[in-house]
Amino acid sequence: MIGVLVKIAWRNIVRNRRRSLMTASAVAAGALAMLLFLGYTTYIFLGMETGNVQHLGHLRVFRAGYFLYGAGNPSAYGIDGYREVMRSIGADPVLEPMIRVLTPTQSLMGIAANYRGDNAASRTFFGEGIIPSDRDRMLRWDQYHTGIYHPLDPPMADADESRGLIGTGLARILNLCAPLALPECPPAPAAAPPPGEHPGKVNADIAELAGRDVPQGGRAPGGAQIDLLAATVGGAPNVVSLNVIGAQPQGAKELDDAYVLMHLALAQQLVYGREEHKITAIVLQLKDSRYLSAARARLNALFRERHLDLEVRDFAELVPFYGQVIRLFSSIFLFIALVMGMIVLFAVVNTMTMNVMERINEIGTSRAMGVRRSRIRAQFLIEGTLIGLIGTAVGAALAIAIAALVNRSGITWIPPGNATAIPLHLDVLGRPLRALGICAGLVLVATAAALLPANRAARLSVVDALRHI
Amino acid sequence: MSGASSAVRSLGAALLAAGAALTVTAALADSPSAQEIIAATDRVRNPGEPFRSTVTLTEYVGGSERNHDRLVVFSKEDRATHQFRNLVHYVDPPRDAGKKVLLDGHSLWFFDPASNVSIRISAQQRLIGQAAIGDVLTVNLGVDYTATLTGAETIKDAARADRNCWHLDLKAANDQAVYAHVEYWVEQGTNYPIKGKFYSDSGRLLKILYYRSFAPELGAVRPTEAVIIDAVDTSLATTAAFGDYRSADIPDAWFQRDYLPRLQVQ
Repeated sequence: MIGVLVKIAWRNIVRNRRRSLMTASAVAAGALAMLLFLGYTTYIFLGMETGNVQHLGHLRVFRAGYFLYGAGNPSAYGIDGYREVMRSIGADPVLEPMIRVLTPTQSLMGIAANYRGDNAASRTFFGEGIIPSDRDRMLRWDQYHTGIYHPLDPPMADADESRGLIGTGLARILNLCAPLALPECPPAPAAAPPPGEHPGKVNADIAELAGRDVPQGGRAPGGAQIDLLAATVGGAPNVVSLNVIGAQPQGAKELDDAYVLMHLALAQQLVYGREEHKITAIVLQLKDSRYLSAARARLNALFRERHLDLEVRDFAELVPFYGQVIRLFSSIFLFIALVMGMIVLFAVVNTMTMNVMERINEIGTSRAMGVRRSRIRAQFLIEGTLIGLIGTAVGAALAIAIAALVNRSGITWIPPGNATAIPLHLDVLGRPLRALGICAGLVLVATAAALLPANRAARLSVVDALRHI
Repeated sequence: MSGASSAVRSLGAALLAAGAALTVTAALADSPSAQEIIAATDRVRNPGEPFRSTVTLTEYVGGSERNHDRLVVFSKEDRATHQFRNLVHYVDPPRDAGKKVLLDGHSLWFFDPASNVSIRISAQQRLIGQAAIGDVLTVNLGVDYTATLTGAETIKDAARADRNCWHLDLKAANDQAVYAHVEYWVEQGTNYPIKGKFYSDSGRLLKILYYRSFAPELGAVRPTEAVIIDAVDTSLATTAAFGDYRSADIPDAWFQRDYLPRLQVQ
């Protein structure tokens, strides 16, 4: 029975070739746009997740309260006996198979200064102390095969505690453009003396005293060495030297102008001085993002069991930007889906209405021969569904073809929150259930659009229909 | 904005003026023991009674004069902790006149008459600027550090004259000590403090201190000027001249945060 209906519907589509083509094209365009945008958002979501997991790990363990109150004073929220805690996490039979990297990290704030050369400059910095080999292993995480891997450049060594990287903005502020040979980094203009302060004549006495124990004018101005000043937990002023081996651009300007990446041991030396060395957070990078909630639950259970005053946060909590981007793109997607759905709806309604108008005589004849109303209705509904199916299929095929073309073309772009360009990649089939949902939705809209004209056709009175010219 | 920066700069003055009283923890039988030397040099630096003095701070950048502050300081020893409590009142320049600082042990309160509020200054906020020099002069050597005698040495004092000194090595004895390690030179016989070198927890040299212009003040010959050289930003140096020592009867009530707004200085 259905077979005959489909055959008739198909014949009707082929008969009005041009009209059917236009309608199917509208559906195809809708499918194409939605699928390509889906591919783009999938790529962005997975790319952002990869970037965050590479830098922050999936989960971070803090001392309770740090997440809400600790950012202003990281040194006051150190984890006591962190080696023991890390050992118990690493040895846990549930967590052990999930964990890819387990590493300590220290956040700190202070003042970065370059007193060498003529232009002394200083600025408050935000620093991160890491274990370089662990960080490199984290940066290689790529569950979704995005190909994103930006190693520390030049690499930092576990053995050399004095080396570190800084943001390009901070390098510029600290007059390190020349020593680091940074491109597009003009040297700062010579500082004018502040108004109202007239430099008096040099007091030879003081100058001699000052130069007696410490060389004046700093060490050789060519070296890229900076001083990091911070107050230790005990309140004592503390200073360490950092050999800046390179500058890495950071996504946000505020971060770029303040970021210092250093060896964990150096960060601990600066923050804890002669006291017990602690850390801010234990970083867990998992082998698979799907383990996240299980790992989190297990960690919480572990801390409860051992009465440890620790809390667990995932990367989405640490980077609100991640959730914001996801919500932004989701709402844009919803908007596109609505517009495309409307277009498909009107196109199909229009076509089917014309169909019904043209075939009133045919409907009357069918009805006179004893065909039931329900079958007339099904006849037109099936035609709508067929148009929807054909259009969606063509749109999906086109979307896949275009995505393949774009992926091969090697176009690069800078995603939000990123500092470096990465290849543009449209991941149309990255989330297959969603792609399928889009196609099914469009077919459903086409079918629903046919409902109104089909009902009208079904309700026609036989006599009127037969008389219709 | 200029008010704020000048206030921070002036803070240093306040801190600096706070000449700490240094107390001997243990008198050793051997003579001269390191702790005895430290105790004796502390007596040279600080009168044993409550007193007021005037401190003039001069800031040098690259050897040339940049800034000038004059303050009146009230100091009195806290009998319980053997640390001096200091109350600092700004006199000059006019834009800072009336500002006050209370240094009690390791907490520091700043009072600005313009806003009529007292603010606590945290350790982090004392990192740069001349505020930090206060830590050099307020270190409580006798209580917070353990001294060992490294030997006798002849060094040049601030005026390039040779002085026969005891070279002392001071290690932090508790968490309250600001510096992890201090080198100190005290003249043999007179027990005049001549020179100090102050190191951070990381072992970096932070400040170098010279005492000079020894003159009789309040019953003893005392250094009347200190030169503090910043070893991190090597272009910075500050001199602090002490004068007009007067013994004063200072009520304990003055050394309270709540009293800052009411304190009147003639």
